[in-house]
Amino acid sequence: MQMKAKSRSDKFFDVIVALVLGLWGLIILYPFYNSLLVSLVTQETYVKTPFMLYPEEITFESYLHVFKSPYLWSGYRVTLFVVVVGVAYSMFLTVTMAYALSRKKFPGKGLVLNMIIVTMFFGGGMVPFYLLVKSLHLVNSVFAMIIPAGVNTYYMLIIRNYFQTIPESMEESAKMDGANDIAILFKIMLPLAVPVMATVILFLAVDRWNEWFNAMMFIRDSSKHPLQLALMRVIQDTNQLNVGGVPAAQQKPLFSDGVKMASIFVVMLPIMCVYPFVQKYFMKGILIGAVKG
Amino acid sequence: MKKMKKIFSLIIMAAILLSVVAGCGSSGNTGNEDKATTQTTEQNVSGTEATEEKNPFEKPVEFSFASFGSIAEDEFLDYVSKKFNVKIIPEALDWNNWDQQVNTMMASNDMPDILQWDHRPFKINMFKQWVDSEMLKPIPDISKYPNLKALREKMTVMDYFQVDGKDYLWTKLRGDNKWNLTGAMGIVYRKDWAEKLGMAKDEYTLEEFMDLAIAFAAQDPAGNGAGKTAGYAEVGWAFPYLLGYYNPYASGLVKIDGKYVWGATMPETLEGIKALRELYKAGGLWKDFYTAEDYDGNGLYMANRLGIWADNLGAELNKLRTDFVNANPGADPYKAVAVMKVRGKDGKYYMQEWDNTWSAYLYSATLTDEEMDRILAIMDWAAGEEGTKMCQFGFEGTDYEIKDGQIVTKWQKDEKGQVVKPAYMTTADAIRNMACLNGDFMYTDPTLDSKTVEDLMSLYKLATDYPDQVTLAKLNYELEFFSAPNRDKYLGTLGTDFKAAVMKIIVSTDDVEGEFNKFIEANQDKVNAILKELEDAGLSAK
Repeated sequence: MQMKAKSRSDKFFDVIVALVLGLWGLIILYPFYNSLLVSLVTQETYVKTPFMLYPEEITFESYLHVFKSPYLWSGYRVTLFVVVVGVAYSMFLTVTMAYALSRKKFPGKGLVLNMIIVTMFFGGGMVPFYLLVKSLHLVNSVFAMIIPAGVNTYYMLIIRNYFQTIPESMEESAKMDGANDIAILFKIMLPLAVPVMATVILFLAVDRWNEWFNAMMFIRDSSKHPLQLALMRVIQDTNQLNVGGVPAAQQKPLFSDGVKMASIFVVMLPIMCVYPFVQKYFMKGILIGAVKG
Repeated sequence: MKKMKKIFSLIIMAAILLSVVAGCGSSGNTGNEDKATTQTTEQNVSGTEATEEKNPFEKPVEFSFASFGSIAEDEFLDYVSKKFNVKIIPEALDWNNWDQQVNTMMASNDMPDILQWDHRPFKINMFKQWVDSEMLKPIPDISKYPNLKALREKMTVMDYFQVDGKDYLWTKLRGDNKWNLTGAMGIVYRKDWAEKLGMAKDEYTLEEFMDLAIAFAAQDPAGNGAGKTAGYAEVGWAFPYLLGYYNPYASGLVKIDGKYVWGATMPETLEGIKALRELYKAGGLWKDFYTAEDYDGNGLYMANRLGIWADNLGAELNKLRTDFVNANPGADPYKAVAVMKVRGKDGKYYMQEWDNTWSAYLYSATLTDEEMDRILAIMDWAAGEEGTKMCQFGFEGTDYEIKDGQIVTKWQKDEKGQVVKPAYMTTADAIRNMACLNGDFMYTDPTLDSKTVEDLMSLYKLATDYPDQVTLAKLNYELEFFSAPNRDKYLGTLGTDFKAAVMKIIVSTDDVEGEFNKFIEANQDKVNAILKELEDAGLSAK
């Protein structure tokens, strides 16, 4: 079929659309850019021009304060551990559960699936959850950020749906060749499910990277706090929130907004460095679970 | 293959069974069972040594301490640990989720040995439940701790938290106001701008104050451009502070001649709201006040775009002046951030009484008497002369020396000339906070500007030195600690709803009286229910 050549009005329309969307993109990007600038300027510069296009002078004082914080490096260490171990643990549980629930011949599958789905809508509440974690001796342990978050039901359903799209004939021919379920999962299903695996791994990695709530509730030792909580602590100390109504002790006065913005970039940077390499999987993965129900 | 499948299945089943067994294995407080068994052994051993006088700190003690303080493994902690033969295990609390953390720990019976808690009066019932459930250890007789005894006498709010005559928490004295209970809520303004406009005065009446705010916005002394300079703004959490000049009890209940009345129904309240509306219409009140965050106005002030700012000056005045000079090098901080004296329609200054404490510590019932004694010993030291000096200045010889009876610090200064205290001063602050806040440090802190201290002192002493010239919004512990179903349900939200209603009326163009009467009508039943409960309790005349 031959493409119709664009008329002048079409081209004009395209230009308008591009301009509007470009402006919209700038509006969305500017706060991000401004945050970067705030992290690089002094309080004097920020106060005079809170919304700036370029900094008059650059200072790394805020970043220096963040990087000198005793909490930061332990935070990075803990978060990396949680991401690596947590993702491996979650993937193992999620994939095996998804595979089992994708098989047709699974007695009681419907009941099991419904019970799992109910957990997406209802929970026991904070106190029962705390007691459960405490009974597992996970209070004040980094595994409190890993074990309770073992299976994400939504990701499990995504993988399950994908497994269901793989033709049964492949499974049958493998079985005829003597393969068991484990072999079928690892040698046939997983190689075919690389896109969804990569997507779910990325989602899980981001979830673990952003972990702070379980750490806040269960981990009392600051040296075991993940990055998010460590940086919240840095900001909290800078904002003099440790006393009420009287000035708190500080080594020296700091530009608290600058420290806040510097903390944001310190947390975001690693993920932003990784994202371009996994972006295609991210985009595919969003649609994967939605297409097949 | 079949064999492998069976082996794998067996392994998975074994793992599931093991996790179930491990989960059923134990319950109750982690670590506290160890404490309970060693306590019995220790008591048996100590009984035989009772007749010998011994070092009170001979036995090492360990306790966990959950607070907002930053306690690091540094020289200061090392000093305290060795002096008292203790190991302090700091646990971090999160400011934004403080209540949730505390409530979850208490509900799960898994509190640390010392836990910082927001002890506001409306939580009294919850506190009493914790006491009844034997989760908290009472503070023993503190007569052998003279510094703590002296602190206790100043903290009258603790009397309201007593159960069966015992203290089950320790509130933290702020220490900034040594003379009375007035808080440091006040107003600062651009005296330099006022001089430029020929409107500078030592004191302002309310009308003159409003005229000044309008003039700042209209005449733009900083040259920011039309509409870019705001007249007056206040810190968000204190809104509507200015209304207090008309009626200090506008948003709540006040006892008049033995009978509680609703402040909103008093004619002065409506008069005040009308005045605020006029101020807003005339441009004197910052036009974005109702959408701003609490401290956004502070940013405007630093940027030379706001003329008058109301805030907690006790906590903020020094920071305001320091930040202003940092943001505007060469500026005169005393003129740019001058404390403003304003007299209300009754010719008096308006001040608010605040509780002189902030937050409290709860002590776990699992603490042994010896551990509690050690904690109290540290607290008494921190509140005493030696501990106070160390916690505020550091180590004598290294951080300071005494010359002619005065403390002279040896702290370094950075390239901007700002004092840089040793890193361990944050630990020192946290240790002092075990007993009290460091509010009294303002009187000895060499880095604090003396003029700023003078300004604060004159603010604090006003109600004591000139009581007939001050309209004081008094603290009412009787009402704060009164608990009844409707009072608990409605009184807190009444204040929040009042604030929202006033905000809406100020910025709208509807008739002030009509809109305000609607608010009163909508809430009158709730107020009547509370008043009835007060009457039934004998606290209000019928």
